[in-house]
Amino acid sequence: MFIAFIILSFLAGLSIFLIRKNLYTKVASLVFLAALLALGIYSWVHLDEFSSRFFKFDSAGVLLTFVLALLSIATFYHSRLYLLRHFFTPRQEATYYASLIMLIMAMCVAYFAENIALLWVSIEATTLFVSMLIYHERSKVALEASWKYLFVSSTGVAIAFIGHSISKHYSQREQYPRSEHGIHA
Amino acid sequence: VKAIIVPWFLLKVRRHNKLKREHEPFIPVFYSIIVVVISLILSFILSNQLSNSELHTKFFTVAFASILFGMYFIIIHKNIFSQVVGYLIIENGIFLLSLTIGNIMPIMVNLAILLDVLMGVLVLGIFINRIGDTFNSVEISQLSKLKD
Repeated sequence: MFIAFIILSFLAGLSIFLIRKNLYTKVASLVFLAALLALGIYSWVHLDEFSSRFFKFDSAGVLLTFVLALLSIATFYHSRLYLLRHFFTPRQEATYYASLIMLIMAMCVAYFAENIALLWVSIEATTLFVSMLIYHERSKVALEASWKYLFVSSTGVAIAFIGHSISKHYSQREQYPRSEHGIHA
Repeated sequence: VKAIIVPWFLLKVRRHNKLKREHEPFIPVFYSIIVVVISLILSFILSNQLSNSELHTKFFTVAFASILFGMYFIIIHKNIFSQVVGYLIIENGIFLLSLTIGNIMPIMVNLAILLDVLMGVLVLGIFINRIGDTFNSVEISQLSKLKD
């Protein structure tokens, strides 16, 4: 189920980026929002079950997914208004929506990831997509801000990987139950 | 991937921005050598002090020193291209450190990490090109408009 959600949102982002039609973008983002809500409800029903080897529906993840779903409905509505207020080419709008969808997908992966390395990869992916969103308005200041954001957070996430792997190792060795790493994004 | 694609891409970025092979650090090279040697000695002492049977002492020394050196490299250089190189040095040190601890990861996740680093370097390189085009140089002194 979770892998189906990942594939669906990936396809939605990619097709929005390639097709660049206004109506199609609307429909695809509505489908994505519905899928996100469905994922939240599904994970609530199947609490504390493994979805595959790498994902587990723990309660913090379910809570955060519902918060994310509510927030992303508001975000899509306001980005519609924002894009209407400024003049952007269809290509820019498509890039905006595609990176927004991919960002939300990467955040969901980070919530439910059971494997430390997968968690790290998804957090790094959110960094990349956020930097694309920052650079959406192609001005000098936006360029500077996105460079600084990208560099500082990728270095920081790289250093956080040390702590992740050490804590994983010791929690395995001393036979503790798995500690909570879920909420970093 | 790490040995072929990343250097090739960085070479392309360097040609695009017409960078020369010269360094303009804030601190003279002689002091830098001293600092790097001190960091190496520090990591030697640290890894010998940590008398942990599960850590491979040699690996830990090299990994820790390369992380320290990468951060130092980022700090002293004026050029954003060199900062990306420093980021790669830190990344290498971190993978060596995760080898030290002996964490065995599934091959798919390892591949995902590799792909992610590649994507990061690609995006950073594209941003370098954009910065070089709009500001006409890749010095960090150009990027000082935004403050807290």
